[in-house]
Amino acid sequence: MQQKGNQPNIEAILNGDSQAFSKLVDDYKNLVYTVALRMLKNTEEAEEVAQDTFVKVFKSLKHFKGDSKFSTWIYRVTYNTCLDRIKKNKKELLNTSIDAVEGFDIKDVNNALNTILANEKALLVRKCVEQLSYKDAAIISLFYFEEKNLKELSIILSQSENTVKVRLFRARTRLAIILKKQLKPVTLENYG
Amino acid sequence: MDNQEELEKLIDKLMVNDSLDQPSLDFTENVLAKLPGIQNAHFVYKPLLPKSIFIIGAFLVLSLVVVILKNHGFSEIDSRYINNLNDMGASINNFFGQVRFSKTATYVIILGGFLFFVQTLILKKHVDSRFV
Repeated sequence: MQQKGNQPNIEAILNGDSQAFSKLVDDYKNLVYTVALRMLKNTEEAEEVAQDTFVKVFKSLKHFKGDSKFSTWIYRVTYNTCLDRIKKNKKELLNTSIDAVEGFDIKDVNNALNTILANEKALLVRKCVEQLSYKDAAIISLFYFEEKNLKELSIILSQSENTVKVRLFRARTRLAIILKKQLKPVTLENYG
Repeated sequence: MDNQEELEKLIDKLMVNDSLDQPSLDFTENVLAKLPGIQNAHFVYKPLLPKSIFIIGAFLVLSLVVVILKNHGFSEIDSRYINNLNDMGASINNFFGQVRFSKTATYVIILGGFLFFVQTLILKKHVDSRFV
């Protein structure tokens, strides 16, 4: 899942070296596009917002002081650009009710997950994340992109680590509920 | 193991299989097209050999010159090589002195040289724009 680029040559980019900037875009475009797609749920819009993100990155690169990882900074720009687009569109996907998690045993879902082939699992992840709200999709994706680093995640989302922990737990719960719905009832019954 | 820990392990296991999506093939070109600032920027040329190699090369050539001068002195070099060079120059002059061009041929050569010069400038501009 990781696709970390090397530290970009910021000085060269600021001097107008288009090749250095192209390399930066190539290194991070899949990550930026994936986050945008998961938040916006639309390929055309995600592509447009991902491009706008890189334009913003180029314009504000001189303000990057290196206080955080470069990937953290670029995710922060991506997240904020997506939020601006969502606010502009005024569209929001409703969250799955969190109460539903009480109704099933996690072990059953875990056992059912074990029976699925690896390539089917990849498709399943995509389907499940698609059904999350933009906030949950962003926090879950960024958490795993940032190697489960809560500190970096709190910088991206501009929230305290405790708030991020709570939000992450809720997002995980909703993802588990969606996962249960996605897994075939027959598979679950076998382990129920 | 409490419920929260089990949930965390379940989602960790699920997300291991997550993969990245890919934007369109011309994504990078489209981003660069949106940046007039970087389009006007010049391509930064990088020399094929690093500076240190050039410095070492220059040092070796200078050392060679110094060794030759120390061993043979200026007068010997004059007598041995400069006369030969003068002879070579004279024979080249003789060869080209025999060649005669018509007026038309002279104009064609001048025009050809001028067009070559213009083409070089156009090609340079074209190559620069491709790299930016």
